Amino acid sequence: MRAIRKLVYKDFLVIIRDRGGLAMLFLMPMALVLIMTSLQDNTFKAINESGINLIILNNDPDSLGAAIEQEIVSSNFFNTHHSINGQKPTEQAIIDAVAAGKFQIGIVIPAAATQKIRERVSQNVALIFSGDSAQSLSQPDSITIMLYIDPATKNSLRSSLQGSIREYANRVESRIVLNELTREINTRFMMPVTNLNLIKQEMVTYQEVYVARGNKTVIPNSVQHNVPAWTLFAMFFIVIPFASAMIKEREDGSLARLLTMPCSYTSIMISKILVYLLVCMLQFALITLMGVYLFPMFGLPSLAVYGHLTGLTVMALAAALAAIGYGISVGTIARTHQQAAIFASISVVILAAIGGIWVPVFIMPPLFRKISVASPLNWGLNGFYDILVRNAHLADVIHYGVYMILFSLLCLLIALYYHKLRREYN
Amino acid sequence: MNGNNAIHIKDLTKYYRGNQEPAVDKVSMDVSDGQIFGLLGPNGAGKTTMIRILCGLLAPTGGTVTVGGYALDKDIHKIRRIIGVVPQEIALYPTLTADENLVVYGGICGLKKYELKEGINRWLSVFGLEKSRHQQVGRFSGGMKRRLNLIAGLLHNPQILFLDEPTVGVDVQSKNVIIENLMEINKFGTTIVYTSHYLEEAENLCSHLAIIDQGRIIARGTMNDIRKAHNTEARLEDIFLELTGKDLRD
Repeated sequence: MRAIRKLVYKDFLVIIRDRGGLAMLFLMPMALVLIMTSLQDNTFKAINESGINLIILNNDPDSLGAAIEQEIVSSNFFNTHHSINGQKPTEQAIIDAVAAGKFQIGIVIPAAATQKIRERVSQNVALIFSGDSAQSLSQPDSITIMLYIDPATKNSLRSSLQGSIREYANRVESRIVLNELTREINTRFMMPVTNLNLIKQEMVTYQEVYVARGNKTVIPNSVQHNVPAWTLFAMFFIVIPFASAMIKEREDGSLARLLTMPCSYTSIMISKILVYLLVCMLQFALITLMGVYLFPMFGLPSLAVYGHLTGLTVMALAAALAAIGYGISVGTIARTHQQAAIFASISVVILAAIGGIWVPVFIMPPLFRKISVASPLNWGLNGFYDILVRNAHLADVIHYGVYMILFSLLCLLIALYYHKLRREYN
Repeated sequence: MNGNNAIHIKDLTKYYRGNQEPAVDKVSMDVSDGQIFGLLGPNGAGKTTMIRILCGLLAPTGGTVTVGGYALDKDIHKIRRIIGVVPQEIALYPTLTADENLVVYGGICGLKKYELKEGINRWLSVFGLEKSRHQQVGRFSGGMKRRLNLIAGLLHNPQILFLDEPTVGVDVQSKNVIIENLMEINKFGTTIVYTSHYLEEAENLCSHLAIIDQGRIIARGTMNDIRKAHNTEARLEDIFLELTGKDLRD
């Protein structure tokens, strides 16, 4: 115990004396979380809040053109333009502007589109009431609304826009059908009917609710999603300074000297675990405080941690142990600083990628979805998300913590075994 | 204890991974309590390997070793309590002060607070480092580091002290104070096992010597024993060259 106390004292001094390294240990992760969250938040806003530039050329001032135009403007989805350089554009000008990337989407509504619909509907309604079943209903000339799309625009956005326009067109068409039916009924029957358009058209509506455990409603935002992900990522990057510190100690002979004294490799590792655990938890505390108090100053939502601090702390502790355990194995197995730095940084990026830090696991290909369950970052991320986004309690996520602690122990065992091999076979 | 032997080695062999030739080849020898034992040899002869095995840093491929009466393969934890090691490298933490380095190493070796304080004061004074005790070791000169490296190995008054080239790269003054104090420590009963390339220094310091080459002991005994065995009154350096040859070693 005395040896471990002295080793902790030494490791603590080594860390705090390296002021540059210390600043990087705390400031870089905070900067990473702040920058990534801000970027993701802006992307989120870009998609949801008038971030996409759309140019519309409405050659049909009647119902269809007006409806589409009004729905697009009121959707708040797009930054809608009607002119290019102050001039009403031609279709070719729209094509050129979209191709040049000035607008992400261009829409051209053909002239007299509503009138064409009206004529066809009128013919068909008249046919229906004529009682002549021999004549088939006329197929209207297709009315083509042109969508010009910047190739850089996401497929999901294109599909969503097509769906919306189809919905607006259907709505206008239904309205015209009902108007024509009303007119036809009132012409043919004694008892007039009120306009059928008064019937509420949207009988089926939907309501979107983000459900969480305990019947609570949680409104997700970019902060709740990004802070846990990038905090985990930053935490795992401690593998690099950790492994480097171990290799430095080995190279300068200090480790060998320690091993000739009454302390084992395990106690040397326990000391490092304790000191770096403190570093990781301080990182976590600073990032959490930043999320709660500093983010709003940057126009970001505040990180909502109220009621979840115990769960978050336990998950952070387990994630820190996993990161440190990984660092011990890398630091023990790598022979040089270069080996450790390259392997540690790339492997952490890979673990983060397959763990779902950048891309949600559910949209990964099936193989990667299976692999992702083997990433400690995935366990940590699931734990944090369950707590922050799905309102889970510690008991609900403790299994993720256990996985991470077991991973840490496995890494420690590998390191001890490798150390033993090195002593025997070197 | 194994008689009066501080160290007993029998058929000690060490092969490094991937090497066909042994680094240490069936070496048998004893170091008695209280001796200053010089282990000499050209580069790559096997000196450092032997020291690292005796300290428990490397596992031998074959043979038996006892240190302070404890079997190396069974009682390594007990051996670590009675030995002190001064490695060839400056095994100190450069961002820690001299005091802090000694508190760490002495504390790990089990010294209590007052023992640490007393020992650190004494040895820093003996080796002329008391004025620099609160200075970070990274700012020390080579000689100061070497002296502090020595203190870190002997602070806890070990029964057996292993020194691997303790005077390499230091000025004459530092070398002198190191040698004088090693002799002083030895007077209080500490057994010293010492490797060096400085043969004159070894000749003056060591009561017993072993010359090792290609993993084998090729001469051993007191200086007089070695001279008698080779029927010469020559200096140790001449005998050494005669035994190990003049070819350059890697």
